[in-house]
Amino acid sequence: MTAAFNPAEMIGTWVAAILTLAMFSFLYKDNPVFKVGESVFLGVALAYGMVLAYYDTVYPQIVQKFTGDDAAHGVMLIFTPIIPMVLGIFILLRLIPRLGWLSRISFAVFIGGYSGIAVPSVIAGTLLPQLTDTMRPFGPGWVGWVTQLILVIGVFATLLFFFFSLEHRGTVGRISRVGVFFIMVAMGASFGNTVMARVSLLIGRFQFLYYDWIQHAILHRS
Amino acid sequence: MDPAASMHSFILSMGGLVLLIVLLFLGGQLLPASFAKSVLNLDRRIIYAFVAILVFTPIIKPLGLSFAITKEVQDAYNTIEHLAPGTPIIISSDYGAATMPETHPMYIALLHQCFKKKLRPIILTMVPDGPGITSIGLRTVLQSKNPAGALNYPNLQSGIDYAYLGYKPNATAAILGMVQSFSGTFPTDYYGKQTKSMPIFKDVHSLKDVGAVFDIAAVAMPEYWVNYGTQRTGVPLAVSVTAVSAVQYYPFYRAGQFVGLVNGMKGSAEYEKLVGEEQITGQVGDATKGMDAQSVVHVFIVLSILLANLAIFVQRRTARGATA
Repeated sequence: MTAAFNPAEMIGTWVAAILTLAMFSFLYKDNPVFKVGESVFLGVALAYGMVLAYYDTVYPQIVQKFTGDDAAHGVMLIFTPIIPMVLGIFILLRLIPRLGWLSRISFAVFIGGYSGIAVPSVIAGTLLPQLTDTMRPFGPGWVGWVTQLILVIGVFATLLFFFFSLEHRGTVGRISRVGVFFIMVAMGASFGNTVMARVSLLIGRFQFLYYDWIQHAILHRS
Repeated sequence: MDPAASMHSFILSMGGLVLLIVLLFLGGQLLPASFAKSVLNLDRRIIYAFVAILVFTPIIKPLGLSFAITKEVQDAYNTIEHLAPGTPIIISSDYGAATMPETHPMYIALLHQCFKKKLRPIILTMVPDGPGITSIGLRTVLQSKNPAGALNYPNLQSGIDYAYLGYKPNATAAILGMVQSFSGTFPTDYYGKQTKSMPIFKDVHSLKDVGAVFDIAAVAMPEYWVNYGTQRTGVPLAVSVTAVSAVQYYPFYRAGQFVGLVNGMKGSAEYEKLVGEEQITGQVGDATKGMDAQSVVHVFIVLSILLANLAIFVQRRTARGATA
């Protein structure tokens, strides 16, 4: 079946296909075509980031707070746009050595505030539920029993491996080596998943080259 | 998995491992030194060429290899499937172009499931490169046609049947904000319309009012959702993550903090199968299309690892022989 011709879409597909091939050319060896593709990516990504930062942060959080329909008034004007804006300017003052110390105020506010939010949230949201799950009853059945036993041994041995106040000799050393075994298994699982992820990305690019570029843009098949 | 199946898998795995060790030992003893030299000095570009051929061939000529549905994906699917029609759910699509092959098919399949079940998805993204891709995916699903050529979802309206809120920077602040108020956190949607006046938000004031959160993430966003959102409100959280980060999230699934876990392209293909995307659109989903190539390349990588290990065994034997 012949596909409908959309000029903008076609140009986009051709540009994406050429840039994809330019990136793949690095697998043979470093070359000017790859460098051009790399520079185009960096330029586009930077410009995109700047535009997004303005329209999603600066414009709604500062400009609209002064001029928008729901502009802040009175005390809120000081707390919502003015104080955060001044703290942001303080961070930029690091570029001027004489006034760089002002940035410490901004960082103190940021770190203090963020720690206050993050520490209790992470303890309640991750640490405690994960600890509780590690201490769940053994079972059900022999599979559940063995799984839970492996989990408990793994957690204990791995934690001991990262306990550096005791010299890793004798019993401590032997248990630490069991911990190393568990870390290796975890790394193997992680490596296997990483391979799968990278292959998936390659498949995605090849699917694009075959379906969107060759079939659709060149052969005009839907 | 039942105990008999577990025992069967265990025996098969152990048998395979023993066979592998025997083969490596015999190969290490019998193969000549020239074998090790040629394998270990192989030009990496030859391996790249093999991988390229093995990926491209199944794309041109699909093999139709089967794959099974895992419990983690089935659980995620069931969570959404068992929600009552009309229930609002949050889809947090936190991925960009770099991981599209793994995550985007999942997003498409999930939207089909939501619209088919008449759920009301509230879509948002907390990564800078998310808005464009997410809106393209939404448009693709809304404009999708069934095998007979008719629109699958002709009467859906933005602000009533779904909402697309776009990008919100600072995930911590955004999620904490949603726990308190949606319209306060997202005063307008992606298209600039006031969320306060949207019918979809009439009975959805905060995160507590949604049926579930589904986070499709290429970054560490599921941890943000757990810590700042779902653990506080008790709303079920299902996640779809890239295969690179999946390992770190299995403990959350095991502890019940995630009600489902979709792992990479394989998980997305499973979800496409469960949703029945081929029946809905008449086309095989992108993740399912990629599974043949995935399987073939994995076999090649496993064989390459074995071959390289064999070469190292031979090299060591030769080196021992030379020093003796």
